[in-house]
Amino acid sequence: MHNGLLVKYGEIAIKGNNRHQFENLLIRNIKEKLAKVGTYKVSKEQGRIFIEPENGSSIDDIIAPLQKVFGIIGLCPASVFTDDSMESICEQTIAHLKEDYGENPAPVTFKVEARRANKKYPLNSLQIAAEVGSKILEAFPNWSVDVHHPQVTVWTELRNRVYVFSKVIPGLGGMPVSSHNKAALLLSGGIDSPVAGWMIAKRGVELCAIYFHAHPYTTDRAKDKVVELARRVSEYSGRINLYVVPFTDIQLDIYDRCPQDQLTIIMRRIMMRISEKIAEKEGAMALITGENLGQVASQTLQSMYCTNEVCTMPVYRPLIGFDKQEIVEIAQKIDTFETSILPYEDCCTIFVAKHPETKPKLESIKKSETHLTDIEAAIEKAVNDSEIIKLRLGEVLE
Amino acid sequence: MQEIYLDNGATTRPSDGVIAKMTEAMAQAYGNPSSLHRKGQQAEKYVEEARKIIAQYLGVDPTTLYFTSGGTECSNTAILGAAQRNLRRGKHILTVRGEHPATSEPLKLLASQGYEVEYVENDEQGKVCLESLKEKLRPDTILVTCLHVNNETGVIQPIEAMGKIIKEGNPETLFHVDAVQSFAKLPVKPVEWKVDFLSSSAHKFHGPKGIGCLYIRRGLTVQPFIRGGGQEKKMRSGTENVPGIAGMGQAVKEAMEDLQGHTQQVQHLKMHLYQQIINKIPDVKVNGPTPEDGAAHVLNLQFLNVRSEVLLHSLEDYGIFISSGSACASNKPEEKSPALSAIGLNRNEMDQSVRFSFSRYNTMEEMDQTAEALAKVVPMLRRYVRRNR
Repeated sequence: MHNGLLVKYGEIAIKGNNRHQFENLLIRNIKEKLAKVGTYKVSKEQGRIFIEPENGSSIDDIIAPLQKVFGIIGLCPASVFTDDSMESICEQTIAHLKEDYGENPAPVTFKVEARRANKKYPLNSLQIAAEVGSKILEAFPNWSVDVHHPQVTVWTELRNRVYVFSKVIPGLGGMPVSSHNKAALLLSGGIDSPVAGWMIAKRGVELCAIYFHAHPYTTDRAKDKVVELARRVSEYSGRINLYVVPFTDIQLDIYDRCPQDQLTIIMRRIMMRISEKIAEKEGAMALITGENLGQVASQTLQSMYCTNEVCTMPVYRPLIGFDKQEIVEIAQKIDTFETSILPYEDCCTIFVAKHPETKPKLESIKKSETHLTDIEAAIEKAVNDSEIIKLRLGEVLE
Repeated sequence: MQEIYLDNGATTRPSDGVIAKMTEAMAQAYGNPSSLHRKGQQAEKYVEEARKIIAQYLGVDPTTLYFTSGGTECSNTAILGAAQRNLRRGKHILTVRGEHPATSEPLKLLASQGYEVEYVENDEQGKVCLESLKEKLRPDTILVTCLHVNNETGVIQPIEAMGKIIKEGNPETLFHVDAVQSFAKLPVKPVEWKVDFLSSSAHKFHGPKGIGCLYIRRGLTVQPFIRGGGQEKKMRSGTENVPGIAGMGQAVKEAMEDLQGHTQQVQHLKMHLYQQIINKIPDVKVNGPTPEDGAAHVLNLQFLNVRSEVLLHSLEDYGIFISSGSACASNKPEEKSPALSAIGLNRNEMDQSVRFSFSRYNTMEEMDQTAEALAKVVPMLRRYVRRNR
């Protein structure tokens, strides 16, 4: 019976001295995730993490949640037992394989990989493998052995107990998210920005998110949609503080005082400045945007040159070279797509020029910005008046 | 913040009496009306009492009324049922531009199945042109369907005159009236008006959501399209929504206590708000019938150079809830706002149209506050319009 789950993690196992830190982080993230499902014992042993259900919890319930934890490359449902006689090992192995592949499985090639920690065991690894293999052939006459390129590998490991497993369910890969690495994501209601945030989080980075709300020009449903997107990303990335920045006053001021075709670029520059301030407040080391080259007027090289110029913090744009379809595929995979395409778009077009500048000149933009009324104070006010919505592992707190 | 609810065309707040009645029905009469025991009989009494009240309001026999899940189900049953019933007689259907989707969507389905759906002409207020109805009526016309009161503009159709023309022109033609916006607000007389099907929905007049009542003229049979246990004389299977039905009955009862008085009261509210708006704010236009003419509870206005959705959200800050005819994201305004499209408004005009809709629970003071809020908000919003549009 599958009564344990072996967690495989690739990348972090090769991290030299940092390895322990990474392992501990991954274990902590796994424990946090599992706490919401049931009672599980998580232990670390020799380059692997082993999970055992307790108090009637089930292994099946935690596969999907663990597939949302960065740092895991594979999950192997395992049978664990104490009786290490060859008879018991063979019997349990056959039962395990029947559970994985069915009572009458289709023909496959296989090999058995055996290991023993207990060197006093009467058989050595090869002998154990041969013995188990022959019993498998007896049980599944249509299976055949291929030690070089097997379709199925059956692992039999003798430690203090015996572990049998063969199926590997793929995990997400990436690195375990750490609160020591934080970046601030500019989150709109669109398809791109949640994907950008997810991609950076995948590299072990915790996120905070920033959304610019222009009430009454944008609907509160658009805000709810952004909260929902952040919630979905937080299923992977853990903790997210979402800042809802009141942006109407600044937008109206830009509208009043700046040339029409520069509205978007000046707006983006101020958004970056506000985001940098929030990022500093949150202890983040970078900004993340969902920009990709050439998609809209504000995402040309010239425009990004101008928007980037306002901040000193690094700005990461993980989608910069992606095509729309590639982004959509990830959005579908991480379950943000359906929310992103809800029709609560930014309803207002008054801040968007019919023909926005696609090749803005920095000097000209800077000159226009001098007409704004005390923009420093306005930025400070927007940062301070932001509403903070706390999300944690797929839940909106409070 | 005090709430001023002016979106009663969308739905209304259930009255205290309705809530009490439904609570009673849920807590005590929880039996299944089909059960043979006393508990079932008790529930059935709630259902039949409501049916009687509604029959009295309409001046019809209670056996001609069938409870459904609401207006949309009523209209679907009537329109699709009428079409199926007359398969051999003809495939010509007459309707009016600017109908509610509960009518226009089933008609679209029929059109795709080879039925010929034709529009009777209307005037610039959206009112049916009776001459046109007379001209377009044919021997193979199986159905005429229209709204009594338009939900967007409040235009009232001359149902009585239409019924006369239809039945004189072709006694076989069936007449369906969607009375969702007029039911329990205006006198509705299906028998006198020669109406064959009449749709209604309780939540538009302080009753609960999820319950409506379809009148089918006595002697007329149509195929039900929900099949099962055979409730509602086999017209509408499924265990009766007893609390909903009881609530609907109560809502009609309360409305009937002073039908005319309520209408006058609501008309005063509308005129008061309208007068103040045009006194305080320039460049406001009425869509559809003049405020004196249309249904008392609907006022559809255009505020020049103000995006309706932005106005809606601005009024929210004052606790005022209204409706914007169309959502600007839509590329097909005629789908978002069929009635405004039907009276010839262009996309831009639709984008700046809002609907205020009232109920007898609104007050003059609320009208004052709304006008004041508009006088503050509209000039502000007019400062910011897309420049090079």
